[in-house]
Amino acid sequence: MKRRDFLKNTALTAAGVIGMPYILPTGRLFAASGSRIANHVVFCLFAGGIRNLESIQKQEGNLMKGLLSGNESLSPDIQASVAPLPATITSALQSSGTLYKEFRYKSGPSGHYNGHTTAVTGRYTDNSLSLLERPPFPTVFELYRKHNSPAAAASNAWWISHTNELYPFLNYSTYADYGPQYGANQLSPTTFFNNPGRGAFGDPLQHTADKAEKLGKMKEFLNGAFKSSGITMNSGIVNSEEDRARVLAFTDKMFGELSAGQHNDPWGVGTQVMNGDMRNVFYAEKVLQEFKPELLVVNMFGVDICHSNFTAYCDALRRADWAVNHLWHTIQNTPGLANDTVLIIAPEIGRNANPNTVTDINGRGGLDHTSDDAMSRELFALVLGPPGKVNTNKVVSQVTGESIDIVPTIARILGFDSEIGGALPGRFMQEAFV
Amino acid sequence: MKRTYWILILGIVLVSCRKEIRNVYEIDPVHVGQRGSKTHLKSDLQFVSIAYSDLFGRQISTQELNTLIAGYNSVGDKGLVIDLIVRNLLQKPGIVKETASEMQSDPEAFVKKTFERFFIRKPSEMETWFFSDLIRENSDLNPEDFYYALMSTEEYRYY
Repeated sequence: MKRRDFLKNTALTAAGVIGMPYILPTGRLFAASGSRIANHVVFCLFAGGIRNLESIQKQEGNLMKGLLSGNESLSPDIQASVAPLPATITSALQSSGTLYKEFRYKSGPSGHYNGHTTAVTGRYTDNSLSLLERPPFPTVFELYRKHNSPAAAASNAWWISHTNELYPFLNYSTYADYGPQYGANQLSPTTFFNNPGRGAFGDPLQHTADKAEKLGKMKEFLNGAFKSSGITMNSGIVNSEEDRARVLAFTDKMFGELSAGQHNDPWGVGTQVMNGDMRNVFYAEKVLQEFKPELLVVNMFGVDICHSNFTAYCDALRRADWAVNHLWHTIQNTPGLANDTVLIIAPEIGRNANPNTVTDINGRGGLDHTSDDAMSRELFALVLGPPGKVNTNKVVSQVTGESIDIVPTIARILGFDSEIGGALPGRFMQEAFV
Repeated sequence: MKRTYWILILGIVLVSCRKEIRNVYEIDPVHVGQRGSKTHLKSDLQFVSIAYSDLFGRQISTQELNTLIAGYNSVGDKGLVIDLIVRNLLQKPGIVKETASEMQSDPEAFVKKTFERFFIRKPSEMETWFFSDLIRENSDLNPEDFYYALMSTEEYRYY
C-alpha cells in the first residue's frame, strides 16, 4: 500500500470511529454528542388549575399524600365529602426529588389552553392564541424529534391527552420546518378505549401476512399513480410501517383487555373512584410499558370542576395525586425505564384568590382563574429522577422557576439542548439536578 | 312575363336556402372524473360518512358517526385510525357487495364497478389490467379485500 493511501485510509477510519454512534449494552443507539442526564422523560401536566393554597400550602390538610410528605389531616367538611382512597402505592414522592414551592406562570392569559401551550412549547402566549389552531411555535415533541441525534421516531414521543377536543392539537405546531413530520403520537385513551370505541374499532378485519402483502401492492400501485398528479396527503403524524403495526397491535391489545373487563378497576381503587384523570394516567402507563418512549407528556383535568364545586376539586386533587404516585411506581418497575427516567410534575395554571358566587354542598365557593389574579400564576413543580442525577429530598422555597423552563429542562435531560441553544427563552432547572 | 319569371326564380332561391330546423334531443355530456381532478381533501366528517355510505349504500346514523369521529380525534396518526375505521366497517354485517364467484367470473366488470363505486371514475386501462390480473391469479382475494385496498388509498381521501 502506498504511503499516501495508508494515511488516507487511517484518517477515514479514525473519522468513522469518532462519528460512529455508540451502541449501548441496552441495545440503544445514540450519537456520541449531546450527553444526557437520563434517557427518558415523563412530563405530567397536573392540569386543570390548582392553587398552591390547596397543594403545597396544605390549607385544607394534605390533599396530596402521594406527592407531598406530611400527614396533615383534612378539613372536616372536605374529609366527610370525598371518596375513600386506598393508601398510595408508594411513599410520598417528594423525598425522591426536588420540590419547587414557588414556581410561576408569569405571563399570558391564565386559560387552560394557554397554560398547556406554554408548558409544551416553552413560550408564553398572548390573546392571539387561537383555540382552533395548533401552537404557533414548535412543541417539545418536535424539538426533540428534529434535534435529537439520531432523529427520533414518532413512537418515541407520546402526548396522552385527557380529552379528544382541542388538546390533541398540542402534538405538533404550525411553525415552519417543524410540524407533523416531527410530531408526537397523540392518544386520547378515555374517548377511544371505551365501550362505544370497542364496538367501532375493536374488531378490525385481519389479514394474513401473505394477503397484507398483496393489499400493500395494490395500495402502492394506486398511490403511485395518484401521487404523480402532484397531490400530497395531510394525515397528521405518520409512524413508520413497523411502528404503525406496533401501535395497531397495542390498540388491539387494549380493546382485548377492555373486553375482558381488565380495565374496569385496574388499580383496585373502586370503579366509582377511577375517574378520567386516573384512566388517562393508567393508559399512559400502558404506553410507557409497551413503547418505552423517550418522551411522554400526559395531562389531567379533573380539578377544573372547581369553577362550581370546591369540595369536588379537593377530591379530584387527591385522585390526581394518587394517580401520579402510581405512575412513578410503574416507571420504577418497568425495565428500561427504571432509574433512567426523569418525571416532571407541574400544573399549567393556578386559580384565583377569591371565590366566585357558586357554592357547593359545604358552602364553599367555586374558584375561577383570571389573568389579573396573581394567585392564578402561582404553581409548584416537582422533579423526580435517578439518585445521583436528580437532587432528592430537596425543597426550593423561594420564587424560582417558571413554566417556560420545563421545555429547556427536558432538552437538557435528553441531550438536545445544544442543538436548540438560545432558541428558547426559558432556562434549565439546575436546582433539581446534581 | 319577364317580371313573373324573376319573381318565380327569387321564390325558388328563398325556399331552397331556408335553413332546415332540426330539433335534437340528447343527454348533456357527463363529465367522467379523473384522478387528477380530485384536489380537495375530505374533512374527517366527510371521510367517515362517505366511507360508510359507499359500503352500506345508506347514510350513517348520527350516533355511529359520533362514535367514529370521537375515535378519529383520539389518535394522532390519521392514516392508522382511518385504517382501523375501514377494517372495522368491513367486518360489520350489511355491506353491499358482490360475491367472490361474481368477481371471478367477470373481473373486468368487477373492477369497473368497484372503481366507479369508490373512486367515482372509470379505471384506466392499466388499472383494469392490473386488478383483473390480480383477481385471476389470486383466488384467495375476495371483494372486501379490493374495497379495503381502494378505501385505504390517498385518492380515496380526496374528492
